[in-house]
Amino acid sequence: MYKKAYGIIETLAPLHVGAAAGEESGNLNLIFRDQFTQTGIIAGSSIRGRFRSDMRSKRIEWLESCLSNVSNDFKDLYLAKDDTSYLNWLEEEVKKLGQSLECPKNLDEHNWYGHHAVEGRPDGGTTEAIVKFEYASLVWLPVFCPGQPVVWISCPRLLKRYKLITGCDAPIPKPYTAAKTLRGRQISDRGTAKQILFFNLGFMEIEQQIEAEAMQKWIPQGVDLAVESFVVVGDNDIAMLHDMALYRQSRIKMMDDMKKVDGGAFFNVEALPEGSVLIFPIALKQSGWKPFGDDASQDMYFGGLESVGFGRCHVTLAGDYQ
Amino acid sequence: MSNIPDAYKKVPMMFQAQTNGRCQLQRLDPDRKKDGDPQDAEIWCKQWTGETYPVTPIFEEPVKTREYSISWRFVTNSGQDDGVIRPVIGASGYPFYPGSSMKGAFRQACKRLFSDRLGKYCGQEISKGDFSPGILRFHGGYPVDKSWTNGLVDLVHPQQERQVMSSTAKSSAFIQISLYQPTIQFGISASEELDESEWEEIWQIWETAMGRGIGCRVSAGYGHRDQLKGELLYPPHLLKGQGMASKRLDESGEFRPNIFRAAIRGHALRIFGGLTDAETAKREVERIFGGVSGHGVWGLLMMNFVTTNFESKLFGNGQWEVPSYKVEGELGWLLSQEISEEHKAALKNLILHLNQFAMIFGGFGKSWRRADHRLFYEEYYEENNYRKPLIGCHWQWKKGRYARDVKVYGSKYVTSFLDKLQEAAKIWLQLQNIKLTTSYATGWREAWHPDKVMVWGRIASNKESSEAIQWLHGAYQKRDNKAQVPELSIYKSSVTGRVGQIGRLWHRMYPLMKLEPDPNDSAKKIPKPTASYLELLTIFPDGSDDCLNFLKFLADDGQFKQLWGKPWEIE
Repeated sequence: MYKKAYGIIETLAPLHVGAAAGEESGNLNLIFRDQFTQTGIIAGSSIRGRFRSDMRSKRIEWLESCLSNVSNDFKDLYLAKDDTSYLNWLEEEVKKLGQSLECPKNLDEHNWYGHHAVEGRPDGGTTEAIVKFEYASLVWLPVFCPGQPVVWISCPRLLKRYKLITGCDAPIPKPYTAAKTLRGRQISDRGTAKQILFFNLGFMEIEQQIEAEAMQKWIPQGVDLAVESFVVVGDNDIAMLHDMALYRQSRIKMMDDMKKVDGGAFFNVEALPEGSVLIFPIALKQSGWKPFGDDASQDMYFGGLESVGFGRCHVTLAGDYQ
Repeated sequence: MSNIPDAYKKVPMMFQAQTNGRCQLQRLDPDRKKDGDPQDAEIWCKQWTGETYPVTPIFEEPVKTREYSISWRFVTNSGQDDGVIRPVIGASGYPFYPGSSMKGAFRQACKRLFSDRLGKYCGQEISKGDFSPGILRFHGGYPVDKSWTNGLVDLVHPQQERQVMSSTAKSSAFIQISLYQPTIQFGISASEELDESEWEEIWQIWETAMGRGIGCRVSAGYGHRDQLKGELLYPPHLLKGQGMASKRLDESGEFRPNIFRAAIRGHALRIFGGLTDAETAKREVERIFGGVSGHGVWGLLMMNFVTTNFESKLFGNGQWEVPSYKVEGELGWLLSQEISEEHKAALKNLILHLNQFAMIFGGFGKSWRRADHRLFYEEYYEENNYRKPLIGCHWQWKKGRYARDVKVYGSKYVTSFLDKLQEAAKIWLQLQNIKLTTSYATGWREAWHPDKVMVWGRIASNKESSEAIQWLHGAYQKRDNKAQVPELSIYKSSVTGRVGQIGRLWHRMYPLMKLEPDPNDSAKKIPKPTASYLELLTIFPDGSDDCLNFLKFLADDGQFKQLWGKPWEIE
């Protein structure tokens, strides 16, 4: 009944999806975490919001094209009025011309993501969305630790969700599994030949080694990662290792005219590091959804702090969506 | 978990506590240095850089990028460890200049340059508590290649107290981690299409922001571009000089442009210390140069030195071998904040005189109180086959702004120059509402007050004819048993100082210029270099017999004339 698809998100910059800065009483802006693994997620509503907003921009372009036949300087006309949003103003202008506001279906965000509430209509005028999103969970998370190469970690629980969404047929690796090609931390005076990694839990030995091809199956579509960097850790450990891997930054408010901290304004922010890979399921009631045109992937921004470079992601759609 | 012998010793330094016996990044352990063992900071850096991701992070379309090189060192304090400044480390272990820092710097520059675009670029409050986002996104910066892993350990050695205020003050070196001369790629993107011309404007704003330095410790010369741009107080001083380079922990040399600022800041303290009490002098110096008193003082001035020519080589033989350098460059001062025109003019005049003072009476960097023995006492090294320490440094103005910078063309100019410098300092202090009284920082070793300091000078016809340089290494008066004249010397006395004790005498060979009529304009005169030097002795007498005997000798000998300070009288 539903067409099943999914999206893969690879972060190109730190990603912070959490409470907005200033709404928290503390000075640490945390990211949202899933309640079982305590690892970072992107809420389905955030994903939908971004897709909706990107499609709305396309509809705005379409509305502009309706007006451009009439006048080239409509942006100046709008600037004279400041009591209405640009979108509302465009719609009014198009209506004045006696044209229909109905745009091509593939550009209409109300069609795909549900109509927003309108005053005075039954049920608020809302409609059901054709495309439904669930939250994005981590698949692989890079961890940098001095003295060893960067490794990407996951755990059975996260991989299970990945498997459910993608239909991957490989057996889920046991905890402390890596490909035979993993290069760990070099410690010479040890009896065993097994690879050792250091995480903030302490030293961790790789217990199972699998063939590179078997690990290859856990690399999502459109993601350029090397199997020798993958390590599957235990479900109980992922939360703590995740916290070690997060990008953390102390931020301050500078005085407007002076390079000096404004009073005690000081807060910390955490974010998923760049190079993280997430997956989210998509369910569609009908096909024909082409948010990226004819391409399967596109850069999108998720979460907050966009103006300081956070949230830039590469999104690849897969499955039965078009 | 695995069985690893002495596992606790193998925990990466980044995860060890900042405590004695674990990891103390900021501490320089002299015993380890003596034994040639690495310091914690060196181990930390080696671990950090050893396994960073092999591919340098780059920004891809639609992010627009530009690369800029930093003239010297660069650091953005990550704030992750207590008591030590070390860079922000981004994904894959690369040092990262955060987008938030970039936006902050851009915002301030945009406000100065195009305040009407501030809302568009950086966002603004549209109604109470409601903000509209700007169209720009600041992605921060990464170094462009692997060279950032070199020279990370940065030694900082504060000396102000020991050199100016108290002979007994202790000074020690601290470690900081900063990037050495990195080239950084910065990224900016926009949420809408912009014209090429608008991007030009955006980068212009970013360059203006960089003109004031980025990261932290910018007032000390960190985080400046490799070319001078923007809001200089006046055209830069053109200098060239040679001296002994600072040593890194691994014994390699590093020319550290913060020597200029340290010297000039120190001189400001001496001059103020001769005009007002110690506390006021310190406070007023912090007002100009910044400091850490109270909640921190944001200094009015920032220094920037741009190297235009540089040579480094080793000097001396065997255990005396040290890194030395020859450098040419442009020393500029920037105003870090808006002040009134009146204050600006007074500050400009003051810093100009302080720069000139530093050049006329001493030098910069190590051994700045001595004339360069390689130039003025060659036989000292030749006789010993260069088995002698490198002593002194030599600085001179480079052609270009002689008319502004030289100031002293002979002995008689010294007195009037110093009077003008004091006048400039007085005017500045009065503008800060400071009442000048006769009480000054009497307790300081080098307060610039006529009762505390004497300047003596003579003309040396060429670089071989320094008189005083011999006195620093042997008797100025030979023993003559018949005439019952004892041997007298200031060698290794409190006057000249010794290892671990700073002397009370500055010896300077200031290259003399002469003024010649301008062939194009008979009313004007233009400075021309000569072969001679103004030999200057600046002495802060300590009342010891060594000192009194020497002053008596100076007066009797008659070659040197007293040019400043309370006239010396033979009792």
